[in-house]
Amino acid sequence: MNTQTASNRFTGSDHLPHILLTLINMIFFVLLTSCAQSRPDLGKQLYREGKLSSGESVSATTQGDISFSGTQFSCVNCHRRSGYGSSEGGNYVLPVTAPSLFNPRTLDRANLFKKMFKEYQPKRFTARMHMPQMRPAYTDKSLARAIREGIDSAGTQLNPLMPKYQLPDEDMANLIAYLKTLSTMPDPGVDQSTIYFATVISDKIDSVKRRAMLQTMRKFFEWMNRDTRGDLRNPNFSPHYRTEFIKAYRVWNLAVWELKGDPQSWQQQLQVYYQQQPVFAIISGQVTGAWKPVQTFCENMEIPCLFPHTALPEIDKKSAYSVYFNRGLSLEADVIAKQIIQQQADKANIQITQIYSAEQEGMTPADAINNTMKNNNHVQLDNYVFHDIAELQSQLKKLSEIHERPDLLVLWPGAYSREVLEWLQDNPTLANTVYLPSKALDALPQAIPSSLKQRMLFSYPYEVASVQHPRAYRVHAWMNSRGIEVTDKRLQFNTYYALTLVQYGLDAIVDNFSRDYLMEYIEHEAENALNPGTFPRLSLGPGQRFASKGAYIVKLSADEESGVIAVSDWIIP
Amino acid sequence: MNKLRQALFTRPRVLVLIILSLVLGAGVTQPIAANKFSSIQNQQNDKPKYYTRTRQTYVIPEMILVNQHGKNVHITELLNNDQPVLLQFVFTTCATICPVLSATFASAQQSLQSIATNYRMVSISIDPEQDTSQTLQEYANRFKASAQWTLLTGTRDQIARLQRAFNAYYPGNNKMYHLPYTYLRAANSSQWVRLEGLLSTQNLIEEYQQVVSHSMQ
Ligand code: HEC
Repeated sequence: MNTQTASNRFTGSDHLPHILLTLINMIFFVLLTSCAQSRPDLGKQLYREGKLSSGESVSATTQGDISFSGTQFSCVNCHRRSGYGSSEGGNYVLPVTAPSLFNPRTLDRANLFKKMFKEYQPKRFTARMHMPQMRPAYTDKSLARAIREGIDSAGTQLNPLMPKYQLPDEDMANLIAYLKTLSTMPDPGVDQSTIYFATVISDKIDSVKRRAMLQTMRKFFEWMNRDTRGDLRNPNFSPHYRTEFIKAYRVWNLAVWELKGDPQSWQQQLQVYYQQQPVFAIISGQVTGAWKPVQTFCENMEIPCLFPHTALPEIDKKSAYSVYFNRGLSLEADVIAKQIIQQQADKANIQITQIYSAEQEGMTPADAINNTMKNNNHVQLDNYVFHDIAELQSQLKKLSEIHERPDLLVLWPGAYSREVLEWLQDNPTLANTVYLPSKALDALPQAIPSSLKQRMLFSYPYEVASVQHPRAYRVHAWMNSRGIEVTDKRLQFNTYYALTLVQYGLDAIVDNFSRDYLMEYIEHEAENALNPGTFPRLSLGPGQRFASKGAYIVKLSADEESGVIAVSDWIIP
Repeated sequence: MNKLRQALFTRPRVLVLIILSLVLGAGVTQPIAANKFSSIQNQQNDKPKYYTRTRQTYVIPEMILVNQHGKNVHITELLNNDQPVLLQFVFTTCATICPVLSATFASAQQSLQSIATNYRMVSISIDPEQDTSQTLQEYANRFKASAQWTLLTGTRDQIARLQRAFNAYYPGNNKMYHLPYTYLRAANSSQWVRLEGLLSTQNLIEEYQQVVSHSMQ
């Protein structure tokens, strides 16, 4: 076959595929011979974990005389997973993607634009950006010298922050083989004209919440695309830099991935959707129960999964692609536990009664409370679990028959908020203090006897209404002018936050369509002025997965209108 | 076109005083060698410096923070006493510069002992909601911190006040833009030496030596 294609090589344009095949064969041959020994997979391990092929940790020296070994200073810390580098504390870490290392350095103003204008940078940094040293493309040899001796391909000394690594030849070859693959291609989910996104929604989601989220997303996409079309149709409008951005423009496409039936089958359903049209990222989303199946899919497929609305996120330190607003119910449980212990600090004996639904929404926080309390010998904790309303009622009845009224009752009603609250309404003096999760606030009955009102406390992982955030007004105005009904403010504002962060992220990465790079931007920039006021503060950092870290304990206000009042500081467990 | 416009009408860039490096010959302010240590630097065959030094007087606000063992610490008691102090602002998930800042502390721990034994090292988290005392303990273990190294967390407001007191507040309200500062203070002094930039172990030792010997005269 090889000879045949070769003989047909120059016979005309209809043989183009043959020429291509030959080329591919040739490239393959070159790759095979030159990389016969090297193992990019081991190079990746070295890049990400600082591990040599022998299994030992890599050793290096930074700042001239600080020696270290191990993962602390693996390449990924500074150059990030994407290889696009980072800018932190005014130190600019150069990119080490294959296209940047194996090409001469030129001034691509579009890429520099981000660093120069979007971020606060000290003078030294902007100077580095305005006069980057030109250098030739790296060869394997000059690259090895950069990594071992800190001298770049032009012979210039690199900044001493770039460590000098002691690497055996074999590991160096593996590392270089890996660098040759790093961010060479756009990730799936983007083509010449369009960038594809999805949101995920399962059946049984409340129709008002479903509509609130989808309408916000659809309007956002519609307006994004209107702006893009306007820009593209109007080439004379632009200032001089515009042509450098045109390559970054994509129409935003939103797919709604509906999940049906048993959560065990969700991963497979997601896979089918993905095969029909890969997406660059999954934004927002709502499912009943735990988010885990979606997270597993995102981690396996390396798809950013950005800020779903869930009280049951998957807590996994190794996750690289999922970010959440907060830890959900396990956070609420930890905050309640901390509040109880602080409030009761002077008591020798703290008695807690915990009743929880046998669903995930009940078990996850109940487990968290049990975990926190189990080593505290001042606490006596009694647990009651229920599987249905009948069992709930018999548990509550049992409780009301204990002639000594429990002091502290912690309730995790799961899907049974309404039933639990109605029962409390009929038995307002069941316990001295009743703790409930924030979600129960959505199911409050009309008239709550004041005897009960005084006893009820809620964990509340959001900003309280009395605090005005400057951005809230702008977001409201945006929704009004687009004719979006605000039926669930928090859900819609949070959706909008996720969308704007993605929009800014894509602006920043220009046409370097790397999902890792987008994730890195989001980790870097979550803590900016985009917080729509739903949380006191949203912030991430490299590897952080939860943007808001605490909660208030709140009570109901005495009058019907003014909602909740914080009775604690912002508690971080 | 909103995106571009937004990007263009950007927030003001901060001008921070950093020497580009002697290699580029673009010293901006604050000559480093304007002191009696210049002789030592010359001996060091003109290695480029990547940091600047200024002398400052700071008023430290009274507050109670929490250390890596979960214990309360009065900040003024920790900082205003007869121990020399070395202080940095870091956060534990910071990937690029904080590991280097802390590694400079870690690798100088031993040598500083031989200059003035009773120093106190302090690393203050600028991401206090993420960095609980337990997280700080893990971070301290990573750097084999001795008992003379205190790591502190607190509320966001406390930390912001402290950063302002040390003129170390980051711009843009985003900790990712924080700059690498190291502060040194001799025993019983209210004068601080503020170093901006990343240091080698040798840089830190020399600066410390100078601060300590200065105060002994
Ligand atoms: C502590 C942070 C840090 C770590 C860890 C690190 N680097 Fe770097 N690296 C830098 C910085 C900063 C620069 C830019 C230096 C300059 O501006 O002169 C750089 C530059 C480079 C360059 C030169 C790029 C160019 O365009 O000339 C290469 C190649 C490189 N690094 C590879 C690596 C590899 C491979 C690893 C892991 C084995 C690694 N680096 C680990 C900080 C780091």
